[in-house]
Amino acid sequence: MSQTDDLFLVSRVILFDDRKAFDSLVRKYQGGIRRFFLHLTFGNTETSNDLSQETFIKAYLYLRSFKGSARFSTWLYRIAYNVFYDHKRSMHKELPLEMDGGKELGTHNYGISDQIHMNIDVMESLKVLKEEERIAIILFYLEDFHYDKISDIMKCPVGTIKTHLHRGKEKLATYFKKSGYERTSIG
Amino acid sequence: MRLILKNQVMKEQVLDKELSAYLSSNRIKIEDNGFTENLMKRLPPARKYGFLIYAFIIIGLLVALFTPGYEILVSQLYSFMGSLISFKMPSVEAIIITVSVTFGAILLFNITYDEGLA
Repeated sequence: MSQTDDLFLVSRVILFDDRKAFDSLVRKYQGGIRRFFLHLTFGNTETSNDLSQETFIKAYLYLRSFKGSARFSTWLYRIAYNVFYDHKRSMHKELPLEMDGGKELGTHNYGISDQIHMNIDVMESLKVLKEEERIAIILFYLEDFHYDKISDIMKCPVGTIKTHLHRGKEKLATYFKKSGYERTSIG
Repeated sequence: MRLILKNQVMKEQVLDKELSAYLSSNRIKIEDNGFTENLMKRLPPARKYGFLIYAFIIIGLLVALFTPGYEILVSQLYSFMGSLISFKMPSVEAIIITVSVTFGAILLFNITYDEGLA
């Protein structure tokens, strides 16, 4: 499905409140959005699914504010980014998210728990990064966004994004080297 | 100095490629497994617009058939096609009508296709 298809589906939702069109948009983007939150919460499936649901519900409610000049995916990840920070603020007085990663997997994990256990090295490596670096790294390497799109999502200049990515890469290289990942030739 | 910078850039490019390859190979593929269905149930109740679309289409067709609208529509579509064939710029009216008809047809096809009618 291309950007034109996205715009078409969006216009159907806006004009006719077409649920099937919105269903198609959710099916297309649920994988990426849930993976984004999964990495941000270090594998907490329950929280990542809740945040993903909140993202899509907000997208549905505010779809009229979507301007066709931006890509729908960029707009959606911008909402996800805000949802994550809202969640963080609400959790501020409780445990930090870094401590939340080891929590028992929730009942609504939609069958992704096995994959997370296989992916534990990536989750662990992301813990060495500062939050902004982590988000930039996730968006760049795991969600395939380019600098300018990441800049739109995180609402900061492209230069800052490049700095986050550079620092993030350096830290990850050091982490993998220390953890004995020479066989992957990183670092 | 230039050599140091060149080495730095090369090191960065190698690191970039290796990280990209490592993270891509460990990328989790998340299947839907009922997520979308669950989400759709949580959306606010739908506005009942479906019947309105079809009502307007039928009213529009009836009005067009019993007024000069139908002839205008057809003549503007012919005018648009004729202009394209003779490499001339179509009139603004012809462009507006052709674009509207095309957009309407695609929209209608998409809705009926999704509902399994087409």
